[in-house]
Amino acid sequence: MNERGRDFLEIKDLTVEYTSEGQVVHAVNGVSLKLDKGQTLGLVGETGAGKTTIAKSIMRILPPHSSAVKGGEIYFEGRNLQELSELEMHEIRGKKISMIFQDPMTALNPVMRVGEQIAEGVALHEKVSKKEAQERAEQMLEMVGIPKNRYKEYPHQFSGGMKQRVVIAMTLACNPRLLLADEPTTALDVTIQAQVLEMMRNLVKKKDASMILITHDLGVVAEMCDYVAVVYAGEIVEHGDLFSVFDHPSHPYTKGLFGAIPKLNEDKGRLHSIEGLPPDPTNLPQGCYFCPRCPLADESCVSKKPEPVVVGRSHYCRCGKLKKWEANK
Amino acid sequence: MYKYILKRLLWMIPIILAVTIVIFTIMYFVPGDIAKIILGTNASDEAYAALRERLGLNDPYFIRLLNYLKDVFLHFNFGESVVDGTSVTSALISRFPATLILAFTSILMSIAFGIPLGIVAAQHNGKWQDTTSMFIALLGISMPGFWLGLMLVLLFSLHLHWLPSTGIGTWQHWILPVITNGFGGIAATARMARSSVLEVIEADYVTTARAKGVSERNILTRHILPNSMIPVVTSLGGSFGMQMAGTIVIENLFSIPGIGQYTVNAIGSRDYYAVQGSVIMLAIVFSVVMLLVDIIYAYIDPRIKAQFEGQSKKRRVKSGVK
Repeated sequence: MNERGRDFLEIKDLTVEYTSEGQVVHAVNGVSLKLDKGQTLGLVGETGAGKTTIAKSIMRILPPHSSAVKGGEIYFEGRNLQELSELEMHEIRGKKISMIFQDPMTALNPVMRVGEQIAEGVALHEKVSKKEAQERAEQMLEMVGIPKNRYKEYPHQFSGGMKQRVVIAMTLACNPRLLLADEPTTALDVTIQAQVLEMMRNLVKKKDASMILITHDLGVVAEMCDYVAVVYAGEIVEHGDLFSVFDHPSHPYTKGLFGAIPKLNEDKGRLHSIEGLPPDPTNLPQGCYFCPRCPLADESCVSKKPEPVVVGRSHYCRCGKLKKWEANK
Repeated sequence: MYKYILKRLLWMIPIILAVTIVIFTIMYFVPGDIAKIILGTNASDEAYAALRERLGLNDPYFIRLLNYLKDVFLHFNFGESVVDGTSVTSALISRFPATLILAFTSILMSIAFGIPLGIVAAQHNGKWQDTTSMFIALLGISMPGFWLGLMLVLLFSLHLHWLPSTGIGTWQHWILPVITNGFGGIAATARMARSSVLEVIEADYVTTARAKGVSERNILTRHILPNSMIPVVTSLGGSFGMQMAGTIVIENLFSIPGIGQYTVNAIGSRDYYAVQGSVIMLAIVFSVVMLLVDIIYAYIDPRIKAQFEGQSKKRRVKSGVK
């Protein structure tokens, strides 16, 4: 227990289910993760793989009626977040851990001035006067490159990129220790993406925060992260150091992801893709979740669930075929 | 914004003019003879002819229409009652407050009870609070006003003798009509508020607020309510208009001397000018209420305000003035 408390963030065997129209959706199935101070972890995976659910579980903001954390523990600065009261969580949300959501278009309250939305969190956590909160919010706006005289404007007066800047200003206003960024640039256009990422990286570095960056863009991961975790069907199939994973992708799914990136120096008609579709989370396949799509799968993959295999320094992979497959290479 | 309000006020002129022309034309084609109604069936043909001539009934349609418009809009005179010769204008003015009280109290009840009921239902979606609220709302929507009114009179006036059943002498007189009139509004508002809150509860910005560490109470008052009340205001505005007309049943049931009762009596006795006057009056009130709703709308939703301002900006650019 104490040993576990030493880590900045540790997720142990997290399992989350949703219920939808009587069916159980297995969104997250036994995810374990560790993150140290000042590090950035990239969570990569297809849509619906459970990346956002992992982040929301850390914040404990899963929809209350339709979802349930079925098992596992989340330790943050030595405290088990699952055991904290709702009141204690209020102190952590926005102050110690904050989250950037995927779609800046809908993440801001349309009838509240943007400045006030930033100041709201500041006033709440920093116990400062209204005026100080406003000054702080104005500073944050300037910091993300928005003139402070736009404090009194409403979200509809901002472009998508600027809204995402506002959201980032909002999440960083209280100097959080951990930032959960859920596809922060997916909804933005490419030129703005680079700007926003650059800004996030600088701000996180400046405030010495840790970050979990959720994305399906491997390029973004390469740019931003120290560690990578590849999520497939609510499970981490490969986890490791950025260079280790990028240089030696071990899981067939990870290899497939890298294979799907078109290369500029090769002239190819068609893009590579991974055969098949992601599994139905209400009805997951037996054994390895990836085996129906895996080029290497055989009966042993269906009968037995693979355990994580260490393949390098702080690099592990969840594939039953790993040794044989590596040898064949 | 002021420009927008002014523009809307100016728009009311053609609208009311059109309503007046339409109602006048309809009444013009209604069979029947005003002179016969005034003099009864026993007068001589000469007397009828003389009266028709005096009232200008022999004039062609356009002349009569123009005369009527002149009376209404230049002298604010809706004519005289065909039945008893009293001024329609003063009758409308004296009856207006009773109808207004009924409509206003009903709207107030919708706001005071319907909105909280809807919010509670949405917050406890699927639990007993939700089921109970929605059961009450279903009752309110299903029971017609005249039936509910009669039942209330039976219980509270005839059996228990707690409350008077007709007239408007004291405040006790108002209790039954106000409840009867307001119940449907409460029910409709509760359902509207519930569905609207349910929609907003799921919105991303509510999750954002929660992720900021805002307490559930502040999430409700600062984030959910301001957003979810936008459609509720619209429906309340619309129902205020309905109230002005819907009080017809209530006023007759409880013998309240309001515009509704006046209109029904006027229709029953073919009192042409009184019918026309009542309809025009209701049209004016309706237009004013709709304008008020739009102004409140702009106040609670900055996007709509921006639209209004955007319109006037566009116009300025078009006409070359900056």
